[in-house]
Amino acid sequence: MSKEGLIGRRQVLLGASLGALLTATGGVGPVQARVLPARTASVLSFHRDEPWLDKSGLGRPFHAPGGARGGAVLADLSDEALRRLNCFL
Amino acid sequence: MVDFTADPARRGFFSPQRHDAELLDCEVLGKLPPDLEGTFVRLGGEWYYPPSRPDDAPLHSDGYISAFRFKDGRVSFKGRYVRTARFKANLKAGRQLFGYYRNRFTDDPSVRDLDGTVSNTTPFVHAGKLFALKEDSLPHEIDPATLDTIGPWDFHGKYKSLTFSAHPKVDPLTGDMIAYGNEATGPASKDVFVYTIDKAGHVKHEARFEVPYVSVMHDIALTQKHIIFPFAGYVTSMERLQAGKVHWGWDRTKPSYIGILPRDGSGKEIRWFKGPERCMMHTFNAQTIGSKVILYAPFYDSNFFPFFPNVDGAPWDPTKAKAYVRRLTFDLNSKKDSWEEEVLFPTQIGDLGRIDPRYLTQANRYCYTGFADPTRPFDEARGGNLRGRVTNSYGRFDLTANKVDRYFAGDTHSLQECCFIPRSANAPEGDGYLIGVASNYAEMRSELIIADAQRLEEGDIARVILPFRAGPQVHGVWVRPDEIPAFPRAEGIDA
Repeated sequence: MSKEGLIGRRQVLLGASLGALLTATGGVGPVQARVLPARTASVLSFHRDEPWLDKSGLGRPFHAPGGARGGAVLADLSDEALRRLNCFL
Repeated sequence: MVDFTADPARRGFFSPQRHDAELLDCEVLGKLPPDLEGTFVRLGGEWYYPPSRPDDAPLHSDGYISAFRFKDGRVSFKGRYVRTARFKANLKAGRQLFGYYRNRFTDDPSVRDLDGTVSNTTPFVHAGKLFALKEDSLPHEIDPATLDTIGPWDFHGKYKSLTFSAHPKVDPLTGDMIAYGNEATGPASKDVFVYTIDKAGHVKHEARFEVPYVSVMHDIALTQKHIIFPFAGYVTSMERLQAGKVHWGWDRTKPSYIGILPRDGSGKEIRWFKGPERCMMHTFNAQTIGSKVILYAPFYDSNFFPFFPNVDGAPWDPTKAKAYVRRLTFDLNSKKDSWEEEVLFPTQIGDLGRIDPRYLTQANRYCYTGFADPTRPFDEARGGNLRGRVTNSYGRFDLTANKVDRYFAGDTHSLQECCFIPRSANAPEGDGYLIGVASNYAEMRSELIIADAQRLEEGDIARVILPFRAGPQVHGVWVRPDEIPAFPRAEGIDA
C-alpha cells in the first residue's frame, strides 16, 4: 500500500484541529470549504517529540535542512557494501 | 574529467571532498582543558580520482594528513593530501592510473615503475620527524609546519627493507623504535626485516627471517624482552597478482601464526606458535613475565575486510567479522607450539585499540577502543538510519576490575579511532583525555570530541567543530610539544 493511502498523525492532528475549530466557531459548511480544499493553514506535526509547524499548509513532512541526513544513502547499503565503502565506520 | 557519480554510495557523508583545508581558531563547544597543548595528527584516505576498479579496497585511497593544533586555549585545523609519487602522477594525467590494491600488474604501464604507495595509514613521530606510514613502502616524511610532503625516508640508507610497517613501536623507556618491513624484498616475498632505530633516528640492529606463509603482518607488539609478530588468514602470491586480483585473499584453512623474537636476537631465534582461524590486525600491548609472554589484542574471529575476498569463493560473512578484547598467553618454557586465548569482555568491539603510550611494553590497566552500542539511539530522521551499524561509543576496558566505562557520541554520530592523552608527564595511568573525531551525519560535519578519560559516562567536555567533513581516518597520534613544537604554524596566530 502506498503511503498516500494511509492516515498519518498529520491527518489525525488536522482532523482534531478542524473539529476544535468547528466547535469553536459553531459552523460547519463554510469553514470546511475554506480549510480543507485549499489547505492554506499551517500544519502541526512532530519531530523528535517536538512540534513542527509547516507554514506552507501543504502538509509536508519534516525534513532536516538541506545537506543533512548524510547517512541516508549509507543506510540503504548492505553490511558488506557499507564496509567496502568505509571499513572503519 | 573527474566523475564520481558511478558510485551512488559516494553521494552521502563519504562523498569525496578533494580539497586541502585550513581553519584558524576553530569553533569550540564547551571548554578546552587549559593544560592541553600539542597536536592531534590524523591520517586516512580519500579518493582524489575514482578508483579504476569499483570494488577496489578503500585502503587504496589517497593519503590525507590532518592536524588539530592545540595552543594557548585555541585550536586550529589543517589538512593536506599526501603528495606521493602516485598522487602527482594521477594529477598530471587527470585520471586514476593505478589498478587494484597493491597489484602493480593492474596499473597503467606508464606508472608501473613508480612508487605506488598511497601513504594513508598511520601518522608517526620519531627523532623529531613526522611521517605518514603505509605498509607497502618507505615512510613519507611530512613537514610539520606546513604538512607538505618531503618524500620517502630510509634512515640514512641503513633501512634495507622495501617496505615499512604502519605500526612501529617506540619503547617509552629508551626511545628506541622497533620497525619492520613485511614482504621486505618485493610483493609476495616471505622476507621480514626488523630494525631497532635509536632515539636519534639511526639504525642500530637488524634481524631477518622468513614467514611460514606470506600474509598481512599489519601490527606487532613489544615487551621489554620480545617482539611479537601476529599474522593470519590473508594470502597472496605472484600467481594471484599476475591473475589481476586484489593483493590479498582470505584462506580460512590457514592457521594463525604468532612469532616471538628476542629484541636483540637474530632472525634465526624467532619461535613460531600456531592457532585457529583469526583475523589479527592490531594489538593493545604485551609484557614478558618470567617465561610467559602475555599479549592483549582486539583480534577478529575471521576476515574483517569484505574487499579481500575468500579464496574459496564463499561470500563475506559479517557474523564472523567480530572482534573482542583477547588475552593470549605463550609459555616459552613449554614445547607446545600453541597459545592460550581468553576473551576478557563479551562486548563486540572495533579493533582500532589504544593504550596510554607511556605503558607500552609494561603492565597496564586500561585499553581503549570504539564499539557500536545497539542500545543507544540513532536519529533516523536527521542522520539516516545507521542504528547499530556504526561505532557510536568509546570504551575504557579495565583489565583489573573487569569493567567497561562508556562514552556515547550522540544520536547522529559515529566515531573514528580514539587516542589517549596523559594529563601530564607524571599523571597516573588513565588520568588524561580521550579524544577522537566524530562524524555528524545530520550536520554533514566533523567534530573532534575531548572527554575526561576517567569520566567517560559524563560525556565530552569540549567539541571542536569543523564546518565540513574531516574525512575518513585510519589512525591518529597525539604529539607533545617536546616531540615537535606545536604545529603546523598558523598565519595570524603565530609570530
